[in-house]
Amino acid sequence: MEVAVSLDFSAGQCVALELAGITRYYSIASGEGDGRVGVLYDVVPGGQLTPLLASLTPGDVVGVSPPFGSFVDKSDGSVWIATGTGIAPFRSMIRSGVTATLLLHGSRNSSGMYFQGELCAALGPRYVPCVSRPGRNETGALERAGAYLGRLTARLREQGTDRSARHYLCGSAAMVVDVRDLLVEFGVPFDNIESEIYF
Amino acid sequence: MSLPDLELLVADYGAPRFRAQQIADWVFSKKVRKVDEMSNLPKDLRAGLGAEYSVGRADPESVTISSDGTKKYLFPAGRARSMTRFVEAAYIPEQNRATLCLSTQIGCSMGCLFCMTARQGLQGNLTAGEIVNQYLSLPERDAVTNIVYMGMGEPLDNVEPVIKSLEMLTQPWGLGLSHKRVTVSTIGVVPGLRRFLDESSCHLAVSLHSPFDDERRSLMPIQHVYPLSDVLEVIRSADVGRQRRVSFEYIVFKGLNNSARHVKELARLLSGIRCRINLIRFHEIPGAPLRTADREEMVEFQNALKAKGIPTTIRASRGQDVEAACGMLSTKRHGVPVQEDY
Repeated sequence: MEVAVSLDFSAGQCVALELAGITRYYSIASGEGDGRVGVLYDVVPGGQLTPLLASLTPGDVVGVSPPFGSFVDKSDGSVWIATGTGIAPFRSMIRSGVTATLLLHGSRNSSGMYFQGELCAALGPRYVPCVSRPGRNETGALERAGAYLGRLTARLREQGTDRSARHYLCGSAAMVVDVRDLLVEFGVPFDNIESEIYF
Repeated sequence: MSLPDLELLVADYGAPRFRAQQIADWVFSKKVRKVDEMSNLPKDLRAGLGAEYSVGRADPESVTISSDGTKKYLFPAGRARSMTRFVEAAYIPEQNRATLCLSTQIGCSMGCLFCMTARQGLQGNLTAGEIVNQYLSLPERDAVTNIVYMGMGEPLDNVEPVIKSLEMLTQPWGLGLSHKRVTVSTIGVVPGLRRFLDESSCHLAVSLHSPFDDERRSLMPIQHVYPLSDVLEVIRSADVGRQRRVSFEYIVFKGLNNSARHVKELARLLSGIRCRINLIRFHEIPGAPLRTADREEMVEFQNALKAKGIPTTIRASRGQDVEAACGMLSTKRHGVPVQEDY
């Protein structure tokens, strides 16, 4: 979803969206120079705001806060790890001219591989979708696209990581905790791990 | 349910408003366990309510007793996927006081590096009734002098039920406890903090653990979203130190966050806020790359903070042998295994 408002933000920051008195926080998925604010969301069954967002049509009005947050990477040499909609801040970073040595994106199946084409074009083999439960007919296409068929944590265990790099994690608390533990086990100093948890 | 909720409920049954106060009296003063025991309600109202509602009392499933007398209780907290969910609460008796440390969520989604509850993620939120049940159904309930919301979960990430539970505990129609006997602890969820400060007079504890943004971020991901500076701004603007006790909880990690520069920065950050700092011993958990500071280090740090004019205590570490101490509560082993797809 994109809102026609131009904000001065740093890629990786968040905004609060307000509709019908309900406020929730989202990472900005658009680039710093895009001239609009894009956010990525899944419709949460029983959720309060996401069903409303899904029912919006062009021209509808939604409240947008000033940008905030410090999950910002401007270094070009980091490892980025995301699950689901947690890909949003990294997409913003790429669209803002920042790159990474590796981007791992975990999802159950290909429907969660948001911005896959764009990320593949920007990062090439440094972008690795990790698909834990591909559909029956998806396996071939995913493998051709360079995906890892299995859990993100399994891919990390198999291939390790650059212990000297800063690591940026974004997504569910469960993923952040598990991946952070794994990175620490690999010898990544914990103060080289930045985590943005979606709660 | 709170009294306002009960008033809406009895209205649904066509009963006069005063019945709500009667129900509240049965639940909170007389502490009945069944709707049927509410003998001054009309039979048809009792039958109607009893068919759809329960008082919500649930005794602890089990208790584990520490060598220091602390008791860790396992409380049922509703069901999901045909399985009962659980939370842990700790009863901590001391010479002149007895504290109940209760939980507000099943697990937690804040991901703090040093906390066992973070390792299980978030399985659900407790209702106000489930929060209060940890007090109402505690065998040592009548001995409790203080209640702290410092168990499993981030209270202000479940703010609506937490606020209602505080009303149930402290309002005259509820349990009538003094708000000065209740403390809510938070890592600093700013929207919830504003609501708590507006709607409750209970004491506030904020999990600090470092005065430096980078360091705090590595320990507590929440720092990315609600930096400490925002939390302190809310506290300062509400001038809370004059109305209620404000404490900052500070786990001391060996060789990490107890240097002279930490003392200096804490003094600067907290300047102008009437508060105290509670230093907490870190209870090591599997996989966390942090170590426990020894007693001498903690005392040295305490003395340095006191020299800066900050009242500072060292919290006694209780219940460690039964994993009931700060940061150790977890019901992961009782939970429904959730395979997230990453």
